[in-house]
Amino acid sequence: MIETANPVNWVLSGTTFPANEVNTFETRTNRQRGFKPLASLVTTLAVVAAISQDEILSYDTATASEIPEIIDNQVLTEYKKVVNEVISQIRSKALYEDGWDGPNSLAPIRQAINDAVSFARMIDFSRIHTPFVSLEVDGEINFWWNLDEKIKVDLGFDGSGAYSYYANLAGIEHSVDDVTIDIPLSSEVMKNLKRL
Amino acid sequence: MDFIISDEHVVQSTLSPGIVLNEEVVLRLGFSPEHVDENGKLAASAISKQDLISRGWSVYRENYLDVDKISIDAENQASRLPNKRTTTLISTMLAARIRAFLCNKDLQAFIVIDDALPENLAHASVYCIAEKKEARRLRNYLRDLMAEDMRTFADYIAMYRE
Repeated sequence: MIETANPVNWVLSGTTFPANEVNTFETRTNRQRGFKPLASLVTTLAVVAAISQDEILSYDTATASEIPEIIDNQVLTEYKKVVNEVISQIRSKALYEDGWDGPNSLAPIRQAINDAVSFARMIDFSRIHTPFVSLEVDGEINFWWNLDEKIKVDLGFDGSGAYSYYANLAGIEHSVDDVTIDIPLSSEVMKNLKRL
Repeated sequence: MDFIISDEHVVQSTLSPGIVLNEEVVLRLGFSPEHVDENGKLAASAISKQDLISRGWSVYRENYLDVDKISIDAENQASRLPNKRTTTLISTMLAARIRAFLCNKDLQAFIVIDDALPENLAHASVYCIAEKKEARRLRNYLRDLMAEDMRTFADYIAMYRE
């Protein structure tokens, strides 16, 4: 665990998140500031100028810990806000109980929620569209993306430590089952979910 | 429950008004915001894989519809999650189009059977008869069909009564 200088609780949409929700992405930058607060400005400007937009966007499938330390504060703030909103939506499903949608409807499996949260933390939501998060009657946590009916991704966490998805990427279909939760979504899918 | 294609050609309930014909329209309720994303698009999770595989995905046969019954059902379902079901939606689908979807083996993926219930003679069920691992992909086909003709329940009832 990387420590932040001043742990705080994040409050979004009425939900409070503990300081340890703050992602590695953010804490790396804090650490950087702490070690070289003045030098970083000049260095960062020079580095940003030297890196093309394409190179920056090539990090779209990287996990938070792999994001380069050149991202400005505005992007960081947006990233924190969006990922915490997604996590808040996932965790809100924990309030559902068995029978929430009639007989045989199941509360979410705790591990499904944990898996969905872990997965969400791997996605750079400052560059990737956020999913519609829902709970299914079998307890699955579902992420759904629909970009103008052209790009559709239906991804589910059943609590097994893996995820499965169906994607329709402008007519090209992909069906993948039981991908271990620590493996990021395929670069092809991520590319299609990128914010323009 | 394990069904096979031939089951939809045989009456499944003694209460049934007959098998579901290809030209019949079937209806399915949905709810906003529970099943609708921020852009107003129906989410795939509106169609339960578990229902398709084992419990049956309930629909109403428009030809035998009891408006009072479906209205009560809509109210009851909405009351389970009042904050998530503020608006009731309804989709109309042709049975033939549900039956037209194919599984990986190029065989019919869904059947529509006439399992009328004592309290709802218009009840029918859609089952996925493909392999379970295909359910996620196939439900997305059904989702697209359901999204094609979806309106508010209030609008539908007003139109139905005209």
